Amino acid sequence: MLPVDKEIRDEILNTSGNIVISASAGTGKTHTTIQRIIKDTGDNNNYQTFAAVTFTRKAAKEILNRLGPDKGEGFVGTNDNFIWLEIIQPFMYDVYGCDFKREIKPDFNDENRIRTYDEGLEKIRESQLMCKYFNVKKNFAFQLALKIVKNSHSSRRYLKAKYYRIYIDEYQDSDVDMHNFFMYLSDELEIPLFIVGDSKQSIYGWRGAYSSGFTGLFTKPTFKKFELWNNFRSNKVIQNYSNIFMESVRKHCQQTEFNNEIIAFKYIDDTEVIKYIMEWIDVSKKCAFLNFSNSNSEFWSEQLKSVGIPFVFIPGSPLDYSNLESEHIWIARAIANYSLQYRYSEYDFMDEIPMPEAFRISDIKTILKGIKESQYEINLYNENCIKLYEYLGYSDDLEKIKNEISILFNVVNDEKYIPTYNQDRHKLTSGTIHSSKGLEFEQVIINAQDYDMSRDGINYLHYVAISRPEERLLIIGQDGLMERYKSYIENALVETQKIGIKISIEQVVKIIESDKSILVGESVTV
Amino acid sequence: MLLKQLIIENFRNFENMDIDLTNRNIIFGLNDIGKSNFLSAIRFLLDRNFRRNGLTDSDFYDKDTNREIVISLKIDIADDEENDDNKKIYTMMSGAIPSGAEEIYIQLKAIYDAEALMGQPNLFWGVDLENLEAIPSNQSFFELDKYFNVVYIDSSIKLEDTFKRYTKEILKSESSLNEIERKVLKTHISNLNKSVGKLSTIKAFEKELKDEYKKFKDDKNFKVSIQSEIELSNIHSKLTPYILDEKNENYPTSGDGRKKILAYTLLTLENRRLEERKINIFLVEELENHLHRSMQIALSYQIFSDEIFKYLFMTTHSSLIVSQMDEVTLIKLFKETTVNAKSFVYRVPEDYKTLKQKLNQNLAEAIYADVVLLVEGPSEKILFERILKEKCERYESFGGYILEVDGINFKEYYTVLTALGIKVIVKTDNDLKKVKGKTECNLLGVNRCQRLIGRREIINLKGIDLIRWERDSHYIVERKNYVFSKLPTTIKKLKENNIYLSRVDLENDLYEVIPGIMDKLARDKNSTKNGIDYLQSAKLINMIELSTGISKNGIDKIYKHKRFECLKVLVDLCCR
Repeated sequence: MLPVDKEIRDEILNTSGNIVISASAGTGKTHTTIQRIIKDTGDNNNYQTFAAVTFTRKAAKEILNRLGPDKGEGFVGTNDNFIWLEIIQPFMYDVYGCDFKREIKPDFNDENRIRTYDEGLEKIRESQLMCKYFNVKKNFAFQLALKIVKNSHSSRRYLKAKYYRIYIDEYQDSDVDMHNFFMYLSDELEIPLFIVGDSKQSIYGWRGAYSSGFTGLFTKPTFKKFELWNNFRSNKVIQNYSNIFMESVRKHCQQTEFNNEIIAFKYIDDTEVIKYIMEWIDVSKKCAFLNFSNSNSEFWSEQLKSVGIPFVFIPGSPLDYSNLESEHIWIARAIANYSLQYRYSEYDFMDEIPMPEAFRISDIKTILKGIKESQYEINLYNENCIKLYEYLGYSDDLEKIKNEISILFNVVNDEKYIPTYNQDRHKLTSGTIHSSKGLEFEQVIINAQDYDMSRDGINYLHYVAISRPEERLLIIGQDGLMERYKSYIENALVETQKIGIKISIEQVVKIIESDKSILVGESVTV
Repeated sequence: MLLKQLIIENFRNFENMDIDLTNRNIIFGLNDIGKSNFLSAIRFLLDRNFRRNGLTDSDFYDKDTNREIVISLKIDIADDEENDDNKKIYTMMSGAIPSGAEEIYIQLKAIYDAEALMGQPNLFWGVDLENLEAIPSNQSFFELDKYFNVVYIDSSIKLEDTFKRYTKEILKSESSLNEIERKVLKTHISNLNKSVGKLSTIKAFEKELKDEYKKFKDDKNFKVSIQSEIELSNIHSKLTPYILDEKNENYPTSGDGRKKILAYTLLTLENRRLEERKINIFLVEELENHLHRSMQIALSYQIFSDEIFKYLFMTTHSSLIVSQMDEVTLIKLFKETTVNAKSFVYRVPEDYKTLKQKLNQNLAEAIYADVVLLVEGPSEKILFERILKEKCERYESFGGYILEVDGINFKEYYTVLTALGIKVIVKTDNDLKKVKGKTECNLLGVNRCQRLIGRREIINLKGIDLIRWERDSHYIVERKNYVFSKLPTTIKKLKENNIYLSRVDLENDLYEVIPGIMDKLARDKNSTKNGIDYLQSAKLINMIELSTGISKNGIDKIYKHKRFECLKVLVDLCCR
């Protein structure tokens, strides 16, 4: 079936100049980006190339895999990596002098924090390490990159000559410094940008995400705006439900038949809700219980397991914490994958190496085998891991490498992390919303207590959670918390009706109250 | 992007050579002087496939493996920031170019490794020759190799090989055939294969094979089938180029000339497709081999006008191949104590754009010589050649050459040839030119000579009798003699620089040496004129008569006379 917004999708492929796309969850924005990259690489047969920058390594890897040989000489990687490799490392000296004409390593360790820009420059001069601000809302690396580009003629000439287009994913997560940088590329260097994002999915406000940077592009004269709203993932009812909560997409609500796809269950004590979930759930299909915290995730998985529904707790891996970011953390992450992930082989490891051609698979195989075999002996394990770091060319930063390895050692020896690395293999999972971003499930359960919409950014997290399911959504809520949640639904419906869409609560959600809560309700009236 | 300079140290027969370049460069010199080595230096630097196997001991100068081979190329990258080749360099070198830099270097260094029995090439780039940085590389693949494409065209280029490679490329891609074409071809091929399999000889052969096999091993179930395996994927190997004649009839491209031109055409076509992505550097060796002069001239036009050859290094012995040159660096290799080179950036001077053919033709011949005698015109040439036939018949094989400027300024030739290290001798007339409306003469001949060697011009000769100047040719000759006699120091200075000013002109000077012979020639031809006037009345024809009839004694006289000292100098320099 062709998507109803096919015309828009075709236009996106053929529009020149700057493009900004507002894409709702499940609308296939990565697919559209890939299609456009492939089209552009086909049209371009000169020395120029493209850059596709993402926020996470995972997203970069997905693009890499989907592009395959179409990648050519293009840059695909995280935005931090992009400015480090293409601007800071090669051109910092051109602005700040020869002290900086040497290797500058990325490092985002908490110990390496600074208060002012000048302090940052000094830190790099002394340690050759990148650093970050104490203030998580400010981005030192991007401030530095912008300053370099503004002051180095050679760097500007380089970027202009090299890139015919830069593609940026998840733009709503850009902070103000990133935004300023990318706008400079577009406004001053006239490098065309292809920007995709969804302001409704912005869940990084706490670390400075500046989603008005993204929405501002909708009215920027040099940008052509497109909107993707046909959700390939979820059925109409789920789409309607997620649309009514977000002002910008309310207009896309459509009349459809409601068959109890969304249920809000109000209860008094946990046994009731567990019993209801037993009734509701279809265990032959995937289901994710999405929570705010690791501890709640664990709690609910235990509860459900105890009644024979095998929910698996997915704890976040300590190796994914952002304070561990460094140029070599990928090695520890890849070793964890190799040790814990089902069917993750030496060849998958090879794929993670930035320059795999420089290494031999047989060597990698031998070293990885050694690591796996020494998994329970900390000293030997350390030694073997360091061997791999060294083989891959990372040997200077020993203190930090040892720290990474000690965390890695704990992860590979703690069985609870096995599911974390094998999420796909479990039908029924319980984990955090952050870890579910980009994933999809047939059924999703959320807890109304997590959503206090008066708090900043919570509506975005809510949007991410309710747009995950393909078929069914269950919202559970204890008593007053469910009442609070219901008021949000009612509000959303009023707003939707205001723009002329005839929709009633019966068409979006079925509210069920447990026996006890009905009793409690009656007793109140008595 | 402008190629500026090449420095070759300790490589093959170059100990230390530093040469200026432009984008088109012609390399010439004697056989075995190192023209191919010059190209090899560039190939080691820019061609990955050539560099890949490293450098052997014989690549080191004098086989001295204790010294380091260094090949450095300087390129101007600031001439035009919108130029695509400059942009390729910006893209390629990233932060290796600081802001404000106008020139970059690419350098190869190799130290011999006695254990590996070879020198591993290391590449560097940057803006400060003393402080270059290593070019990022992955094993033997350097970042540089993504952006440079060296097209080496050997003089023994084979049409068949070039054609096979090219057609293979064309038919390789899936999109080269459309669905219908593919289907039709497949049907035909499968029918063909079936027919071949059914041929009676094949059937007979199958039987023979089966019978023979059974003698070794009696295997009842043994069957053998011989099948034709022509496939879509290998039909390119069966394609052959044919050139059609006027009647549109096939004739195989048998002649060497046409084959070669077609091969060049294919190579160019192949690389035109790469031009968008890479910087094509053409290295061409002795293009002229096996080619008729008209073909050589045709190629010359192509090479100096087609943009695809914008970066060119060409070795040649042919004056025809360079006949259309303009904006080129002429690089002449020669041997002193070691092999060295001199170069000159040759541009057809603005004033001569219309006379380009003539200027270039003469120059193209002369640059291959070691000693060039510049003379006024054909009369001089005929007479001098006659004299040299007696005195040094093989002067041309010793590197001598007589060039008649014939209306083109001596200076144009003189500058180019001397810059290339060619010894130049000048023989010119003592011309005087009346200044309009004044009783003065410009010392045209003297000053022409003065300018050649950068000396001050001499002031006009005053007090000219206008009436006599108009009517009496003897008066002009007399004035010339006067000028000559008044400037002994100047004339001596010029001589020291191998510039020989006639006392008057060829005929008058000759009359000073062999008046009897000249008068006799006039008389014999029933002319009433004296020897000078007779020669001047029909310059070329009469000079041929003189040269044919002149006795050995007469030749001897001329050769030994100080008016014709230039000839003796030519012979001395050639035969040294």
